[in-house]
Amino acid sequence: MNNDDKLSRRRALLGLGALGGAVAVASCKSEWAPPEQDPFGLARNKPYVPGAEAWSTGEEAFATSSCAQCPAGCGIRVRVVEGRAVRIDGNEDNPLNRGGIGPRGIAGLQVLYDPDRITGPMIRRSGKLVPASWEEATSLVAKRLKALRAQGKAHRLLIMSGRERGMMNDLFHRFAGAFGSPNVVDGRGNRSSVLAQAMEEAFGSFEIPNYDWAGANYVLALEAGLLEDSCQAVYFARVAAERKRGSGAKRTKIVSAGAAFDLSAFNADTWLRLIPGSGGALALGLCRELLATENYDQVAIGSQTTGLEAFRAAVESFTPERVAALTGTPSDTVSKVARQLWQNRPSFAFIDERSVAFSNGRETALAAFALNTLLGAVEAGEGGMRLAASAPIAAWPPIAVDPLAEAGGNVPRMDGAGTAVFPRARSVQESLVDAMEQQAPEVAMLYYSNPTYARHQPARWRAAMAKIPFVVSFSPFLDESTAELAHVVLPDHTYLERYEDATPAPSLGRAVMGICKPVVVPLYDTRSSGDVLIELAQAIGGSVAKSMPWRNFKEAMDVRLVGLQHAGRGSIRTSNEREFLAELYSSGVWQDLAGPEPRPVHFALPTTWSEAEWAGDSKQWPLKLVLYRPLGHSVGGGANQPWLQQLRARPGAKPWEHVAHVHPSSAAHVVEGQSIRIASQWGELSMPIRFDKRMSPGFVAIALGRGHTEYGRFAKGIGVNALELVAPGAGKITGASVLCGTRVRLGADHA
Amino acid sequence: MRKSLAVLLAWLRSWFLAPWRWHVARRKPEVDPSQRRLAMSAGVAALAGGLVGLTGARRADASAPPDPGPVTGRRWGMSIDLDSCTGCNSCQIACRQENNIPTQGADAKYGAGHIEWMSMLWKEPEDELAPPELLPFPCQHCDDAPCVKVCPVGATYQDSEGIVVQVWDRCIGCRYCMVACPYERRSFNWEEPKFEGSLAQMLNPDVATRTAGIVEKCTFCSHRLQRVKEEARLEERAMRDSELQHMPACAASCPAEAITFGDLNDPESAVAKDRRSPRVFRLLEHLGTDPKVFYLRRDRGEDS
Repeated sequence: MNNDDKLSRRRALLGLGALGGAVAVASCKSEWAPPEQDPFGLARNKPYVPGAEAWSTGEEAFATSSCAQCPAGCGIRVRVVEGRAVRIDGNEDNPLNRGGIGPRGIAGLQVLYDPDRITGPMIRRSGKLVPASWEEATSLVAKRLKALRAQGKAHRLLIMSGRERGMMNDLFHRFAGAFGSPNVVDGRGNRSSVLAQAMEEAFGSFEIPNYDWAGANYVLALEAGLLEDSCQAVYFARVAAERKRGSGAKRTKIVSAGAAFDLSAFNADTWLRLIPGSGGALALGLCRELLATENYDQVAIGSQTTGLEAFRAAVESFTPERVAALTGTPSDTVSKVARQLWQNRPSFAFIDERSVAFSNGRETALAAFALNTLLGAVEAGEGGMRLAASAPIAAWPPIAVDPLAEAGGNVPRMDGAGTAVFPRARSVQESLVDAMEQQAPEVAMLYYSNPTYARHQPARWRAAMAKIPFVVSFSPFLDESTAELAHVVLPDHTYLERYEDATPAPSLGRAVMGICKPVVVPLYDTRSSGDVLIELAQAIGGSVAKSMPWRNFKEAMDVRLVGLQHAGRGSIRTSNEREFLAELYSSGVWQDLAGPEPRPVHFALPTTWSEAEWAGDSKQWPLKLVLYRPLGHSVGGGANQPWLQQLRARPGAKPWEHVAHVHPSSAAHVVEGQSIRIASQWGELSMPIRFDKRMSPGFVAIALGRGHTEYGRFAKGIGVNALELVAPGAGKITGASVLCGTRVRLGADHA
Repeated sequence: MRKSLAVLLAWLRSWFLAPWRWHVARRKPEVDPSQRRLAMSAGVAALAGGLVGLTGARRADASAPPDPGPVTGRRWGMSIDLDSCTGCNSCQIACRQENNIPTQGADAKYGAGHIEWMSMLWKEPEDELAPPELLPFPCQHCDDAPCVKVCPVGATYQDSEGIVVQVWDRCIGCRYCMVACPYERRSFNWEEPKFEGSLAQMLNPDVATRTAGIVEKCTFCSHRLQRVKEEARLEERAMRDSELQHMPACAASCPAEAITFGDLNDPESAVAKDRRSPRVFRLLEHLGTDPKVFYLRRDRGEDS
């Protein structure tokens, strides 16, 4: 047992020995030689990492940054040993997560050290992506963009960004504006679109609603992804636990209404089983009950709303019996929950992106807002719904607009956002494929956007986008769109290697701004996409260059971040900008110490609600397809992180498996565990089924995020991509992607 | 001829005269030459001495447990509040990351062989419509641990502060401890662990990786505990409960602060207070293992 190899196993770094020199060879940095004083030969067992020469043996440092894997923007503290990031913990000082961290955050190391990362720029030659230099790749892109402008076709540039907010998203918008293209389709077209549009319609605030849990005694979650895919899941986990522990105050009761027994249902005190898409009916039934029993906040209604009588007449038809039929809950539930909501104030109804993933999402949101207003829980101080607060960052100077930019900016958007079809939408994603089939853009840029996997009917997107003559991808990973479409790849650093703001999805009701900073020397020959975009603008020249006058993205960021110092409030107060920025980058986060005072709102109470629509003939396709984003998936990605693939995210889940859940009564001839065919009017796939007696009958639940054909060794070939089943088309009015609006059937698998 | 005789007598001695050695299973896949030599030399010694084997006395040899360390009066334990736990899986991943636990792939052959120290155990109730239960489930660090009793080589033992320690280098992979543990909290390395490509860069340098043939389990993050002890010693003060509560990787990562660690012998510590809670329970108490992980029952509230 005691030969030399096993003796040295006691040495901690030995585990790296499995690699030997493989990574040293793969790294494109200059040769690294082992140190002279190395009697035990430890150094030969450590794969080379850039910048290792600057570290002493065993030297350790901690760096504060933010996680950028989901819109929550949790603060992180990274432990770096000898130049390698070996641990990610939550940052105690960040008010969003206060030291806790979600499973995805910890797994961020697998983003940085993904063995299948793109290691440098690539250019497609003879159909294959081959390595190239940065000069070659960026000059190719710049040349193409300049030519596009020169031909007067600046509006034929399409930028698809996966971000909902943040300065990089702003930078792409800015670039497009100066360039002359109106066609920036960003993450707003996807998840949070319905919520933001409904909030704007009701309260004039285009952002997701915030909820103050601290003062609430009773929370009713309506078909919400609360603890699974909400971008505020870590925050909710913390506050839900705090509220349950009570800390002296009354323990908050959480009631979760939904179709499947998910984590939110598991954590609630009571679970109400709903027919999927009927959350709005429950909300309106509760409104009717509150009005009928005269248990509603008359002051709030008087000062915050209009149209009470029309609303009262409209909800009259939502009798307990009708609500029971629409939702599947017992008819005495409505009166019981209404009574509980009223008696346990402050109380509120909670909705998030999952609540509105149906065709009636907008109406459901408005119904929930109405319920909250009746409860006096809107902009009412403690314990209710608050409008988002934004951090007082400075604005960039206005862009320089030349005649080409002006002409291009006047061309209507490809996606129809902002037109009569989608009046409040800022971006629409699912209409884009129709427009591209009519006329493909000349140049497309993909920034954290993977449409040939993540959009409805991926095959159709693949066909439409294959016609685009020049596609540029900024992805650090070889995802489907990059592998199949990109002509030039300009890989971004991962978030642990770059400077970027971490503008969080608002949740606290007071403003927070985080930053990401490099915690390790970049591993490969990648570059921050912000830097690259600025360089491209400089190369194009003229007013485009003038609009991006910074040396790099950090400089552009700092120009805006100093607005926080100018505001003279918050957690970092200094006398000058330089000190402020130093403190901000060191601590990782700035926060407002108090939220704004409750703001006046003028909400026209809604008068319509319709049932969710499910595309496909109900006889041919008897089951409804409910797609959901599972724990760890968030807005996308994560399939390349093996730790996220082996989560036990729901009762009965096994590592790495991908199954569809269905109530046994809806799958009479199906054998549990066997692979069966699931088909819709638009596509079909095969996957195993598992029965769940708790869930609502009549629908099939499938998790998103699997079924990759690219994206690295851990993602390829695991599970299926259920988006192949989903009906195409953008949702009515909002243009949002209707994730749950397709009918399917189960059949034998003809394997 | 003499060699075979020695081996035969050694076999006789081991099987008939010293029953306590019956438990030694052969190391997979073949006997380590040094073990064979040990058996041979034991046979020779038995032949020459004779009396040692007849008395059946335990020999002071490599299978005696190491010194458990100085008695400090501390007793480490953990409390897990199931009411706060949301099932987010952060603890499971944090443990995986901190302790360099290899990830088995998607291949179905792994089945129950997935190595996991902190598991998320979903338990279906008897009434199919009632909510399931979820237990974050580390090693229970039993005060009367069955695994300690059966280890033939002293690879697992309880130290003076109550942590059931696993010494990787001593483990011979007989997996008897895995049989003995009623909680199934021990994992075996059936294969050489793979840290593919650049994933090896993120290995925690404070924790040795294991090789094939080793049983591994939760250590209550003793390496992190050691750091807390050393810092306190450098600052010439006692350890504070506040720095112990979130010491293990699982407790540190939990956004709901459901997991708490600390000294059970300190009546003011958070774990000691949790132990006195009316909601407290332990797993498989009737087996008498005396586990030191205390669970606080989920309180679903009353439907008023």
